[in-house]
Order: sequence, then structure tokens, then C-alpha cells
Amino acid sequence: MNEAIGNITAIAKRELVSYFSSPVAYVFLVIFLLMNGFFTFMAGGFFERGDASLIAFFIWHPWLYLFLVPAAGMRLWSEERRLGTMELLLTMPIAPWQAIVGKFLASWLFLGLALLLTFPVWITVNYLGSPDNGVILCGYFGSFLMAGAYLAITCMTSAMTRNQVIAFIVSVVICLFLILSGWPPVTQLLESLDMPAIRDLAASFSVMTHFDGFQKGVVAVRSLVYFGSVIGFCLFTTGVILRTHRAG
Amino acid sequence: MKNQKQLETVLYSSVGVIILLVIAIALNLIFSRVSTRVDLTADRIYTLSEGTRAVLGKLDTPVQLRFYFSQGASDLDVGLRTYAQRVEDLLNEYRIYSKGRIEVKKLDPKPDSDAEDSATLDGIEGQMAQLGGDKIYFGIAISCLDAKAAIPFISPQRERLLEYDLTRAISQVAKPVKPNLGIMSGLPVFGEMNPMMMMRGGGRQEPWIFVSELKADFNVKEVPVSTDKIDDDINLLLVVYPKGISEAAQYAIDQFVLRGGKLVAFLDPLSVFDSGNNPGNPLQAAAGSGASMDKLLKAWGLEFDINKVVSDKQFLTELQDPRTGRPQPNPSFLSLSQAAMDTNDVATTQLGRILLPFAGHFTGSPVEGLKQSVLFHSSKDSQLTDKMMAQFGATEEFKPSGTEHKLGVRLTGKFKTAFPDGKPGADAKEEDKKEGDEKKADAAGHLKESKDEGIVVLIGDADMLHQNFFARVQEIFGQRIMMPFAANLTFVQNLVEQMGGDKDLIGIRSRATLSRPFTRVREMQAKAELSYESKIRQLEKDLSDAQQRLNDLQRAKGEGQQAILSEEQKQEILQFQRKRAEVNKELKEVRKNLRRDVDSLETTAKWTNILAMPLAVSLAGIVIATFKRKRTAAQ
Repeated sequence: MNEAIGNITAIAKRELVSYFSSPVAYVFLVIFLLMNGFFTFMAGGFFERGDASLIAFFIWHPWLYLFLVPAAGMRLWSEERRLGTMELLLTMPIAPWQAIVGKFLASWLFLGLALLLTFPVWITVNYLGSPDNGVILCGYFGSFLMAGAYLAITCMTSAMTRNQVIAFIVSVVICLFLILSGWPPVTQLLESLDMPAIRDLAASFSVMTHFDGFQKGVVAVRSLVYFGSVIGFCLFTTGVILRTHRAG
Repeated sequence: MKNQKQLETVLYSSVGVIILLVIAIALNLIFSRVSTRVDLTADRIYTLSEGTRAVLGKLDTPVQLRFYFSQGASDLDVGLRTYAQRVEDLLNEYRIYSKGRIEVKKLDPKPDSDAEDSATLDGIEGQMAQLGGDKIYFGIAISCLDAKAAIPFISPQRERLLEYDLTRAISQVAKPVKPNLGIMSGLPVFGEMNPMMMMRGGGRQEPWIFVSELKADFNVKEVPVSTDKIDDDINLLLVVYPKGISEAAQYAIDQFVLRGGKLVAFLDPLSVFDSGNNPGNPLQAAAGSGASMDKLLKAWGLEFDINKVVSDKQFLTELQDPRTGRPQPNPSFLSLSQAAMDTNDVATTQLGRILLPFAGHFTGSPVEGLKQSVLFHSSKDSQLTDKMMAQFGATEEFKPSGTEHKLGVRLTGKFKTAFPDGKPGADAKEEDKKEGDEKKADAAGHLKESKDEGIVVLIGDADMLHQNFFARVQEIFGQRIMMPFAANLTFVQNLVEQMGGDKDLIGIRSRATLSRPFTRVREMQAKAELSYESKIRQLEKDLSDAQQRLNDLQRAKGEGQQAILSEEQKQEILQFQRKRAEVNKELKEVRKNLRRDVDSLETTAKWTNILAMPLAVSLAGIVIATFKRKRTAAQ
């Protein structure tokens, strides 16, 4: 067990170092923070609402992550394949799943860091009024989970192809589908199947439904299960894909 | 060996993926039924309040909740769908806490289905989201045996009060006995025969509208002001303007409160409906007006000054001046907005504005054993005006007191009698006051203190109850149609429902989801307004003075000459126009300055938030890069 954790940590460290040794990480962080700030204060009408809460901030996350998370994660496996370091990685004395988890955790932590760096907005809202900090904390937690879910999807698409652009586009599409699965255009598409149960199921798969609860200050067990199952399934599939590539 | 490898290959192939996908979906399906959640909100707004849990705990007959929701509707708003999920979660919590007494049924009233018929029978209305679209049902019907109550459409705007609405409905159906409401009034709220009016062919005055409205939910009984006992079957007593109330009547009220009755008293320093003994002489009438219950208030630790009216510059009302027809602000006619109210009390939450003409205030602090909560109060920009001056609109000298005067308070706790010596005037000759008599007094049922928690609500104005101050009433085909412009009646109804029903309902706090404003911004705005207010007033005064001079000139001229402008007038007009332009420009400047501080705060906050961290990160990146380059540079 300890060996496993040790391996995972080693991989994670390696990944994180590689992130920060290129300007990519910094550029990503700057863009993430700029966009968050811009959307919260300009488009989100933070002041116009007159409400001491971070609704104007969290409301954009599903959409910001839609593009930024695949951008951060697309290189995870594609890069290894392109550079040819994949074989090197997988012949090391570590189980493939440890490598998968290690890389995922590194990226997730990186996204967590990006989220953390938005703390000025928290300070601002507490300075201007007295918001419900429990709700805000819950929102951050939910946002982190949501980022993890998108990231897992990106891991999966990144393992599928050598080409980072394809990985990016496919993961954006899948994430978009997850967001919109509760929306009329998608539900109407499913209407043709004439099975209301499927349509309701699709609605309950929407990221928005689950993130909404976190934004309101509620940690629902079913939302934890949702995000957990998405991450678990995608990481498993990543393993399967890598295995297939290795065999072939 | 090979078999194991084959198994692994299969497991980790597309088959395995599909299997895991199915498992993941199944897991989500299973857990969608599970409504366990952790409520991290500061006000625990997603957890059932104590009051609800108490009501549920007391249920002894099964109650059925039928939740109608058109979840199959294709054009359903996503926000509504998410809200519906929260409602369902809430209903589930009710079921869990009721220990099996509550059954929840979820129905989808599709067109021409049994569910739809059931919805109609239950009084659940379907709403059309779009023209020509399907009807969307989103309501709850509550029934217990043959008593029914319903929330016809669960409005998302009323999310905060959903728990209250539900618990109240459950409480109503579980005990469907209409409570008795007594009204003791020094004003003719029940209508009266006015002999003077009869001469003019008028005759009977109609009862006040609030009485008719209350009759819909309660058995309303009239209690005479001269009574010495409140009937035992009355649970809730409304005392309105008890002018000159006798000690005997105060004793009756005292005992009523001690035996568990709930009291709402509307006191008033000045009532416009009190014609007193001198209907023709308003001055004398005003001097003699005012109603309070001093013995009772004193025992509770409070005082009510019937000679002073609260004037407020922030919560004033603009009334039409009968002479000029222009709106004149009257600070003694209070228009209270949400800012003046306790937003956590169910009676005052989500109310619009309340109109209080000539209201008095409460001072003092409650005696031991009693807790006071302020239902509404004036702003700090208020002062106490002598009631005579207030009635005749003389408020030239306004000095803000800096105190938020209490206009409406609620007292809860264990009350003690205000009459420790027993019933007043009970044939007490000094010689008779011996031990034997004391026992007799107690034996006669004199309560010294209340057994359970008692509740008394005191409001500093009685006129607010009259429809003139909250609605426009029209007579159409003999029916009085009421169009409210203020929330006075809503407040009274909230209060009475809250108190006449279960005591536990009062504890259900209103879920303060939305009442978190930017307090710092508000403070800055208020400060700015205060400092500029005097300037604005001065400028406006200059303007009206100039206007006045013009009018005087016009009047000073003879009758026939008013069409022709004299030289003086021409000069005056020119001056006036110049002055007006000047004043308007200055006013605009002042108003711009009012927002200046707030705007600069907003701008600073905006740009700091957007740029600060990105700059910091860029800097960090550059520093690290330079550092690394130095390190790896050829030595």
C-alpha cells in the first residue's frame, strides 16, 4: 500500500514539475484568473446584484472549465505518446493505474491551485458585506469536484490520441453534453426514444444540477456519488485505452 | 495461465468499459433516491427547523402529502426542475422526521390522467409556461382524514417560506378547529350606528375590512372594552386602541395572557378615527386622544408615550398637499420598508411597505423572564414630535435623534401578573384584607404567573388597521373589492395566523437566503446622503423661495392687470429663471457626488480583483524563469 502511495506521489511530483517548468502553467493560471475576474465583475454583475455572495463568481465555472480544463489536461497522455516517453513510463516498476492516478492527481491539484488563487474575490465580498462563508466554501468544494470530473474526461480523451487538439475537442464535446443533458435541446433529442425514464436519467446526469446544490451550500451524497462515478469511470477507461495501445 | 490472461484482456477491454458504465449509471440511479445531505449554510436553511420537527413529532394521525409535478413536460424551465428536486428533498425530510406519520406521494398530472383529476380535486392549479404549451403542475396537497389544505403553486420566489407554508398546512389539517379570535376595540372596527350620520341619510358604518378578512380564517368575537373577563374559549385577542381602558379590563387581559392566551395590542398616541367627545373640534379631539395599557406595560417593563409621535426622515410618506396638490413629504406618516423590519420573523419577512400614520414608540426593557424582539423600528434619522405639532404638520425643526425607535415589539417568555393583589376593586375594604381573603382570591382563579411561554405583540399604531391606509376599496355590485397598496393587512394576517395557530410555527425562522446586502456600500451611501442632505434642502428652499416671490408679485397686482407683465415682474422672472438653472446645475453636481465614493470603491474592487492575481502570477513566473536561467547558465 505504502509503495503504491509512494509511486503515485512520485508520478504526481514529476507531472507537477513538468507543468511548471514550461510557461504553459503560468499562462493558464493568468488566463484562468483573468477570465474569472472578468466574468464575475463585468458580465456577472457582481455589484449590480447588491448581494453579498459569490453567485456571480461560481455561475461561470461550468462554462469556464469547459474550455480551460481540457486545455490543461489535453497534454497529459497525448504528450507522452508524442514524445515516446509512454513506453518508458509504463515499463517503470509501477502499476499503470498508479501512473494514471498520479498524473490525474497532479493536474487536479494544479486546478485546485488555480481555484485557490481566486481568493481575492473572497476577501472582497467579506469586506463589502457579511456573506454566508459556509455557502462559499461549499461552492469552492463543488467547483473543485467539477473540475476533477472534467479533468477525468480529458484524461480519457487524451489517452485516446497522439494529437492534443483532437483530445481537446472531444473532451469539450463530452463535457458539453454533460452540462446540457438537462437542457431542452438534448431532452428533446431523447424524446424521440420515447422513454421518459431515459430522459429523466439524462437530466440527472447534468453537471449543472449537481453543482447547483454545492453553490447553494448543500453537500448532497448523490452529488458526491455523481462526481466520484464520473472520475472513477473515466480513469478506468483511460487504463483500458492505454492497455490497448500497449498491446498494439 | 493463458485463461487468466484472457480474462484480464476481456475485463480490461471494451466489455469491461461497458460493464463499468452500467455500474456507474446504476449507482447514480440508486443514489438519486437518497436525499442525505450536509447543510453548510450559516442559517441551516436546508435543514428542518425545530418548530417543524416539533409539529411532526406531535402528529398522531397519518397525514398525506401529494406532490404534483409535471416533470414530463418538455418545456420545463431548468431552474424550476432543480427547485422541484429541492422540494422533493424537503418533503423527504418531512417524511423521515415524522416517524411514519407522513406519507409522500409524487404524481405527474399528465393531460387526461388520473393524476390530473386528482390535482383538480385538490385545488392544485396548473400554470402555462408558454402560450399554447402544456400546463405545468407544481403544487402540494396536504390531507389528514377529511381535512385538506393545499399549496396550489410552489412559487420559487417563496422558497424561503416553503417550510413555513408546509408546516402550517400540516398543522391545520391535523387540528382543523378554527381558533377563536376576540377583538376588543376602542374604535368602531365592527361598524357602528352613527346617529349623526343618520341625519344625513348615511346610517350604518361598515365594519373595517380587516375584520371581514379575519372572519374568513377565524371565529371572530367582539369583546367589549368594559369587560372584566376574557372568555375562556378565546385563544387570541386583538386589542385595538384601548382608550381609557379600565383597570378591570386590564386585569382581564392580564389573566388572559397568563392562562396562555395570545395578545396583539395596537396602541396609538393619535388616532385619526378617534373623534372623542368633540367631533366638531379636532384640536380638542387630538389633545384627548391616545390609547395605552399602562398597568400592563409597566409590569412587563415597557412604556408607551401617548404624547409623542415618531417622525422619520428616512421612512416618510409623500402625501398630497390639499392646497397645492403637490406631494409633500410628511415624516410623521411612516412608510416602513424591509429595512425597518426584522427580516427573520415570519410575520415581517417579505412584506412590502407598511403605512403607519402617527405612530408611537416603546421604551424600557423587558422584565426578567421575558425576551423582546423588535418587529419594526424607525431609522436613526428620526425624532419624537409632540403629537399636536405632528397632526398639524409642523415639523420645521428636525433634529435626528440617532436612535432607532421601537415601533412594534414582540414579548415572549413567562409573564407575571400585573395585579399582585388580585382582581382590582374586588370589594376590598381594608378590614377584609386578611389571610382568609387571600386564599379566596387565589381560589377564585387568580393567576400569578403564566404556566407556559406566553406571547404578546405590541404595535405603536392602531390606524394602520383601517383600509384607508393600505387599500383602495371599490364597491362593485354590493361587493367590496380591495386593491392593496401597502402590506398592513398582510402583516396583521401573518401575525394572527402565526399566533393563532401552533406556537411552534412562530419559531420557524424565515429562511434568510436573500437578505445579505453590501453593508459597507449601504453605509457609505447613507453617510454621503446625510452630508449632502442639508445642501440639497438649502438649494430646494432657494428655489421655492424664488417661486414664491414670483407668485407674490403676481398676486400683488390688481385684478385686471394680471395678464400684462410689469417691469418688476419681468426682472423677477429673468432672475428666477437664472436662479433655477443655477440651482439645478448645483443639484446635479451634488447628486453626482453622492455616488462618487461608492463608484470609486466599486471600480477599485473590480480592477484589483481582475488584475492583481494575474499580475502576481506573471511576476512569479518571470522571477522563477529568470532564477532558473541563472542557475542553468554557464558558470
